[in-house]
Amino acid sequence: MRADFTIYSRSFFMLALLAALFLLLPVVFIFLYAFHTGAYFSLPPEGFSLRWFYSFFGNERFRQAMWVSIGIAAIVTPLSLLISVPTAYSLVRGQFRGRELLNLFIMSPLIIPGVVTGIAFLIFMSALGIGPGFIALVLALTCFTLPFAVRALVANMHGLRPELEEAARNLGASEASVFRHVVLPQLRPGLLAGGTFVFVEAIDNFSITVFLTTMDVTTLSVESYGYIRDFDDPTVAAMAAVLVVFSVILVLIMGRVVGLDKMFRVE
Amino acid sequence: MGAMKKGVSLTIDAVCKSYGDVQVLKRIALDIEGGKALTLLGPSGCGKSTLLRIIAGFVRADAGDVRLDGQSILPVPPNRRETAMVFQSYTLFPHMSVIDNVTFGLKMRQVGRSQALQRAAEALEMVKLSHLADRYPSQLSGGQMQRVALARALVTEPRILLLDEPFGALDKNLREEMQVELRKLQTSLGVTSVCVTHDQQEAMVISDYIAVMNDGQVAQFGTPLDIYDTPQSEFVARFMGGSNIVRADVIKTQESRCALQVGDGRAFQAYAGASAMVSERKAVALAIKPRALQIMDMPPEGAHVNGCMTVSGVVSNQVLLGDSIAYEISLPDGNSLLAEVARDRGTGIHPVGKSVWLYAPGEACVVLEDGINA
Amino acid sequence: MHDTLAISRRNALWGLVPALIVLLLFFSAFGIFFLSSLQASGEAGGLTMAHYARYLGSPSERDVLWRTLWISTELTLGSLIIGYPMAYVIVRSASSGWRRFLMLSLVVTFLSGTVTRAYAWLIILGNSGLINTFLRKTGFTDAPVHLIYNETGVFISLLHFVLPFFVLTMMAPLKNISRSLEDAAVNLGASRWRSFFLVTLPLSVPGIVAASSLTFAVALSSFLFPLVLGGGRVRMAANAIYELIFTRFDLPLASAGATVFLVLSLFFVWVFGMLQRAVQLGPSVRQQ
Repeated sequence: MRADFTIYSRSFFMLALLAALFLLLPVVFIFLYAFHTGAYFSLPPEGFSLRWFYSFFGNERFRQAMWVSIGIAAIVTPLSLLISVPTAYSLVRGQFRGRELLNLFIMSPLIIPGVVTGIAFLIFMSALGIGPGFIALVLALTCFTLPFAVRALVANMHGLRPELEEAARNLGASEASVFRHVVLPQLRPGLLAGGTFVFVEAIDNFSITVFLTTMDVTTLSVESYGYIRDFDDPTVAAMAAVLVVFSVILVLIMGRVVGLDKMFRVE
Repeated sequence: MGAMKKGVSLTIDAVCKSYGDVQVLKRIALDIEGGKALTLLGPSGCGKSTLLRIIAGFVRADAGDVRLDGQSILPVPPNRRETAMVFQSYTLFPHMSVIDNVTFGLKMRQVGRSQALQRAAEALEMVKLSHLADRYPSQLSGGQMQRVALARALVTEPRILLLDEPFGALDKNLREEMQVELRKLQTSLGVTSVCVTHDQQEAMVISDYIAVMNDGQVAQFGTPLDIYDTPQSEFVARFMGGSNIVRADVIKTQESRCALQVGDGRAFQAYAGASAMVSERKAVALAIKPRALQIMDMPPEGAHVNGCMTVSGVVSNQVLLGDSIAYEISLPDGNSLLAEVARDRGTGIHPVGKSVWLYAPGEACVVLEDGINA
Repeated sequence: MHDTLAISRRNALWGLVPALIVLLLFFSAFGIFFLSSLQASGEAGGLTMAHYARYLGSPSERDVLWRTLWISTELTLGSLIIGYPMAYVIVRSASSGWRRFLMLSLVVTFLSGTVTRAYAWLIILGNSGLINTFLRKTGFTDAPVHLIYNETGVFISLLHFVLPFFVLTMMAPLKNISRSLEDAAVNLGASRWRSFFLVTLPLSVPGIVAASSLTFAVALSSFLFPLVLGGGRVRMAANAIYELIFTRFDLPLASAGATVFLVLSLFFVWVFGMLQRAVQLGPSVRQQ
């Protein structure tokens, strides 16, 4: 079977490949480094070891941070999605003045630098008497991740075939019914894509969370930053390896359920 | 436009192409002389577009050769083959004006600006769109866009003009208009052309030759009338349309002729065709045109039905077509035949439910081979 | 939008209530933040623009802003040069194998976390890290090449961070450019490169602007990578603001700086928006 004519030249393809390898470099490296025997990088590598995984899971502060991060993500993700669904629906199917402006406002957290959001929330939470900590983190991250979810759902809704909703209306369904029985079931790709982005951001965010953590309540990202600064061994690499594997499995499962192409077209 | 090159002959020699496990083209062989229009006709998936793209150079054949005037074009890259193509849709460069679109091919060939503009103007004149030279594609209708695409292809004086379902996106009336225009252009310029379509009506209008394709092979090759009148296989008969297909029992065969019988009608003789397949079979499929069938109230007797196929049935439907009437006749074995009869003032209309007899001359019954021409 | 699909205004507004609550929360936080930038220091109270004057008057702060803009521009250009071919190959590739590989590298990058990537770059680019050890062992250099705690390390790590944003945003517009257009150009005599420059590139311009807009915005707000890879020597706007709070304890100045920075970001969003509208309306490029 002979290859057909390709519209791009060899050099284009090489550039694309180089870009992909560049992207994979740190991830693959950190994954392998997590299994390195020695505490410092050496070439050739000293040997294979799981000690850093023990170090990570054995570290009290990291364990605590892990529970906090998971807890935050477990609350923020469904909360964000729950809020984003009616929001996206109103934005796409509603007809009222100021819709464009409102859309801009809802998307604004994405434009505002994370640091600014973090500081603003720190001041705000202190002013409210709540102060930094778990609640502050949940509130700030929900606000910050909402645009991700809304954007994914809006894109999903733009792609829906109007005939289905029209047919339902024709048959006498109320707006609520149409939403529940016709629109919602079709939102699976958007929910999965939006949910993924929200979840990843909730676990991984640094620029906002660094302002809202306390001695007792830290997240994995803040904790690992502190660890990198103070120590210098591959414990963080072990954490990275675990997170990467976990996320890849998550995406693969969702890719099976919905189809990776669809998920990323939604973005 | 300047003198067109004398028509270039096209030879497709045992071309094969597979994608993975699927064989898309199975040793295709076709030959046409210069200046003729060939149409590749077939259902989707038959390989016709792939073959066209092999000629254009976008798809690489696994085996076989494609020759223009005896010389193989396979080693030539697609941008140097001089095989200008008209695509089905999204053909014109949207960011360029009509005149820039038409001069594009000339620019690629280093033709000087003033000469290019002159040739482009002539090409636009040919398709009667000179007044739209400065418009942009978004301001044109579908038919106008395809005309410009045609001008853009022809202005480069290609050795072969390729067309990939060029009128598929247009509505019916426009399509028919464009088909006639294309035919006129092609014959007046004398440019060899290959067109791909799934519409047999279109193929009839624009072609000197038709290659009916199915499942990667050429089912039949010939002039439009040949294929229409004498389909060689059931596939071709059904695809070209307009034929009844009827089962006939073989009574006896003798060289190229055979004695057949349809149902319990009279025995008649028919031409068995070039292949000797008939002698080994007990029954064959016959293709009979509706207009070849006559209807009678009573069993056919007499000299005028000598040598005719006859069969009896019941009228199950009638459609008044204006100058003729189409009758649907149910046969005892459950199948039905369509007969089209000219409407004379004198004869009445056979009502539904009436028992009638059909007859057609033996020569009008075409014996269909079972398989496809290899 | 079909009128039959529209939902009643009442329902639409009710549906927006949760989002409006969130927005209220969000903008209250900013309201207070913004107010603190106007608060006069000292017991006198009242509003003042003095902090803004201080911020804009400070050469080191202005320098940070310029530097942030400059690095973001470099990053956007870099993403364009490396990211465009990647997006193009993904969209046009006939081989699903290569396409999946390229997409996989994008997805994996998004999922691999930011702190972990910053750490990875420290080890890869460090003085006794991957690159330097490799160069030393193969005899290319004796002294280590300084790739971290300077602008180089920050640039490399940031480029890695923003690249997926560019590529993913670039893919949809490229897919909208019909392949027949490029094939037609080749068929009429253009080489691959000429087809690219005469047909593909002009038609990609709106997409390039959109992707650049997002990439620039993301680059502007960089915080973590300059923090980790910059070693204190590379401060972008977000780092400067952080320092004003946690090192100099000057909250009003910090919030003044943050507001200025925010206005600047919004300004560029607006500029890119104008640019995009200009390239879309310019030539009559409506896809047929």
